[in-house]
Amino acid sequence: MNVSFDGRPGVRVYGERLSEVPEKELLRRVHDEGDPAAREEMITRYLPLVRSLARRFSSRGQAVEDLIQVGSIGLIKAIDRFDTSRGVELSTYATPTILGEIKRYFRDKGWAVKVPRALQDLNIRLNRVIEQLTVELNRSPTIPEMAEACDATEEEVLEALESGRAYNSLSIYSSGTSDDEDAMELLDFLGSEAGEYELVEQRRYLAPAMERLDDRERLILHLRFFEGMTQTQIATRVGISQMHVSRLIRKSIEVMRRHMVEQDQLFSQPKGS
Amino acid sequence: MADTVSLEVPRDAGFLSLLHLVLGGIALRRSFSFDDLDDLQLAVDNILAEDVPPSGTLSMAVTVSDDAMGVRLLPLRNTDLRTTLAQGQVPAGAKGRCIEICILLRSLVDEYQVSDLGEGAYAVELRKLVG
Repeated sequence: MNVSFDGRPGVRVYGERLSEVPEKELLRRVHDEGDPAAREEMITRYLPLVRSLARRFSSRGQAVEDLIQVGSIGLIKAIDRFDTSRGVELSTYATPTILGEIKRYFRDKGWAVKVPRALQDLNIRLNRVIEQLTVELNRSPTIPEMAEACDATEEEVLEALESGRAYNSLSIYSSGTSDDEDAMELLDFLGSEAGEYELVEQRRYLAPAMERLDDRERLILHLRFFEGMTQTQIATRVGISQMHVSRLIRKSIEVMRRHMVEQDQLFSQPKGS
Repeated sequence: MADTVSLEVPRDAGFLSLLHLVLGGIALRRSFSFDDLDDLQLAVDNILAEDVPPSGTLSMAVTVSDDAMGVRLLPLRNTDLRTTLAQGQVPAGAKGRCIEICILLRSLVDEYQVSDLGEGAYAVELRKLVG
């Protein structure tokens, strides 16, 4: 037999339906009694919020179900840490915690090999510092200048830059800002450049391989290798960071090289095989 | 006055980052910009990507002067790559993977040249001016 909560805090009615117990009472049970059933009920109630937030990241190459799982960890943290005396709704408190967990997942997932967190953080800081110094100095900064700006040693800067190469292409599709869910796809800004890389596409060896690249990658390769622009200049032109330009150039060359190897293998196979 | 730093590493992609770090360590002592350092590292990466022997060692000698940084890589054995670098274009009939490396190098470094070492081996020298 199921009966409803009778409204008295701390009082349990035999056979009560948890779905009808008010949120405040459930939270009290979670915090005061460590009640796993109450915790479970709170998680169930707030799962739609997690799903909704996870779906915001659905275009970023990770399964939404995975993101929901990750977001659920954020929700559980929020439920466990929520202070009912603060006078705010749990949803208000939980939203940034869930988003934070999902963003952390993207950040961690973005590193193809295990890189110490301190180096990841320095690499991310360098991204911004290089942009700032480039504007201030009106040129690409040196390693010592970057180290000073980051309050790090020169060796740490070099290691962080090197570790950045382990960063996989997943992160490349975001602008590198802290608000990933709001970051616009940079490709949106590039429509007017469409004609500029036509020359590149006509090149005998590169054309088929270039087709493997997206518009922005082709544009960047064109600017770097046919227009002779520096990474710093390209970063300004395209509106992304210099480190981002560097990563895209490397990734694009790698994609093209893989295509060439595939073509080699294809054409070296005996006829009829 | 020019200084030279040399090292020898196994021909394994895992050691590429070590080459990068050495280049970076030298570059920071010569006021190389991040742009220039990254170009030089990318040039080295592309040379080595085209020349992938199954085993052996690779030597990298980095020469630094007040106005330039030079990198010498040896021994290399990919004959298509050698011809490409020497002729300035991919030779007819060469494997496609020798993707217009000359185009890349012309943008990434100020000079490059090939020197024969005998027995089919050769070295590639890259030179990047400071600033």
